[in-house]
Amino acid sequence: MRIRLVISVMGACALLVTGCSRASEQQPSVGVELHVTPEPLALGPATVVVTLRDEASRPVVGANVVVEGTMSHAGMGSVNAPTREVAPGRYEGAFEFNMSGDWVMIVHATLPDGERLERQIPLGTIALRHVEET
Amino acid sequence: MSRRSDIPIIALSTAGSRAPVDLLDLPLIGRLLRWRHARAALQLPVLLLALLMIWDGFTGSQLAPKNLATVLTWVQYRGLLLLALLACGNVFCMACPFMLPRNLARRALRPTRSWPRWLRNKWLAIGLLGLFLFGYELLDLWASPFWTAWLIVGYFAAALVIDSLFSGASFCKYVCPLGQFNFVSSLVSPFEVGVRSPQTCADCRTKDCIAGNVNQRGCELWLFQQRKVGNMDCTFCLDCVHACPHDNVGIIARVPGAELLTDARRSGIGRLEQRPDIAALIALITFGALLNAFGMVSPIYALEAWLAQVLGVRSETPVLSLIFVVGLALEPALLLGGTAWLSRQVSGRRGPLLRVATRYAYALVPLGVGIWAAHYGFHFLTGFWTFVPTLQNLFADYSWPILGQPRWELGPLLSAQWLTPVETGLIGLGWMGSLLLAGQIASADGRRRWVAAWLPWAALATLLALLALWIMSMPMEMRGTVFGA
Repeated sequence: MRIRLVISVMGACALLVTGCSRASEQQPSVGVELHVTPEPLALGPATVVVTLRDEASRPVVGANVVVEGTMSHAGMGSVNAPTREVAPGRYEGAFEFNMSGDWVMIVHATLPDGERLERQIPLGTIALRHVEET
Repeated sequence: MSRRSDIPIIALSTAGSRAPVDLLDLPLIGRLLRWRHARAALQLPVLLLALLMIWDGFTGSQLAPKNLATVLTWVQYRGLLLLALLACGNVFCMACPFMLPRNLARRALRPTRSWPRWLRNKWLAIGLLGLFLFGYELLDLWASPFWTAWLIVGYFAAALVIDSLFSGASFCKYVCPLGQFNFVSSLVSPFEVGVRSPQTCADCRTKDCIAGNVNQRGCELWLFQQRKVGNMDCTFCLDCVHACPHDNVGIIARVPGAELLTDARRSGIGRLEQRPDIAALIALITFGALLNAFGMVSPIYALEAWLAQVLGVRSETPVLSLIFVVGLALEPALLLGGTAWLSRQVSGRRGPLLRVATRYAYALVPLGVGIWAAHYGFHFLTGFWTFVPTLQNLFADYSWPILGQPRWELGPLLSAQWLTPVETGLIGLGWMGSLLLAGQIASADGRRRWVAAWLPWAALATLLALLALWIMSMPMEMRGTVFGA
């Protein structure tokens, strides 16, 4: 009887905790597109292009955008790619895929009004092929 | 010590020479370990860490590199585990947090049942360990903070339930998959909990080390110190140390792996030659090391795609099941059975095939541990510092950035150029250890044609080592499957 009570309490606690999540900041309503070249994606250097548009589809200019790349497996430091604005709302940076496997890109943007934006974009599996230099 | 062998025997004791190092005699650390609450003092911070991992696993970012549950479990914990086993002994069983709630519960729930006799072996634990390795791949545990947190919760619950129902440390001895891994790996640890003076034990009438006394319980894993040999089934809990009224139990230095040279009857275990379950556990751990590492390199995709085509399936489960049945059951059975047969044929020695395979399976321990150490070492060395930004992020999430802003770029402990030498060295050491052990076992079984008996086992160890080196030579991929996300 007592052991059943203990198990029930433990199970209830675990289930309650699974329902919790840490409160996250309200994200600004900005559309984020990420384009990575070369295609198909491969190990080695790459170019990341982030396009930011507001709710009215106007480009968001003057933001500070950094693209962070991480992988699905724990145990690897992130790769960060600062970007510069090459056209209104279009931010480009140099990136390096330094390991094969599943990559997740996180776009960090500080908007001109100071609001912060973070979007996760899974890229899928980067294959073990090196880009040939042309 | 046997004098029948033609090759040097590794001394099991230093009788007649300087007394071996005893950790309990060292300043500071000896004093700490002699304290009866030493184990609790180690378990408490690990318990708090486990609770933090569970919390972050359920409530934090579900991106594995950014969650303490996945980072600490699959990177730091696995690496430190092997490091501790190779440098000392079963330290992580000593600091096991799962025992704290269980000990607390036992103050109110006194178990009265004995573990069922038909389960007093390693077969259940083998099944659970195999299931864990399979679940690790199928559920992508390395990439799932949520499921990793549930795994930790599951361990707590299992330890609590089993040890609340059954007396002794039944969970540790017969169930815990992690514990079985630690037991086997500690067979090559440089320290062992053992008696200092056999004569003192012979003169002792109360046998407190196993019977306990009013102040201290005895060994819950039924290892009677006077007849205990080696580290198998020893959790380094130090109950025997604290119970012994003669201060006759220490943590004593020894030659790693030397305990496998003797097949004396061991308290709580019996004779290794008569324990095919322990031999099967060793085989699972050794072949599991290869399979687990193989799952991280690109040929696994080709294999899965081919199997999916052959089986006509689109789901990962049947493909993975087949790979595991072959890799963890069929392949070890065929290789060990075949090598045992060959060894018996060429040496002209007699004896049941199962006994031969059982006896020599123990020689695989150094190689198995070496392969696991190489694999875990890779993750440990490439991702050691990743716990820092994860911890920083946890505090920052609660608007309490006392550790500063997360530095996600932190990662390796050593530069990449060191990885291959370290991995090769660990596998190489394991390989040599297995060759040596197999040779010692062959010569201990009889001088006649011991080399012929040894050669097939040396060939098997070499084959497995080469396979491991081939796997480690390929770039490790941080996972993906042909079946897609």
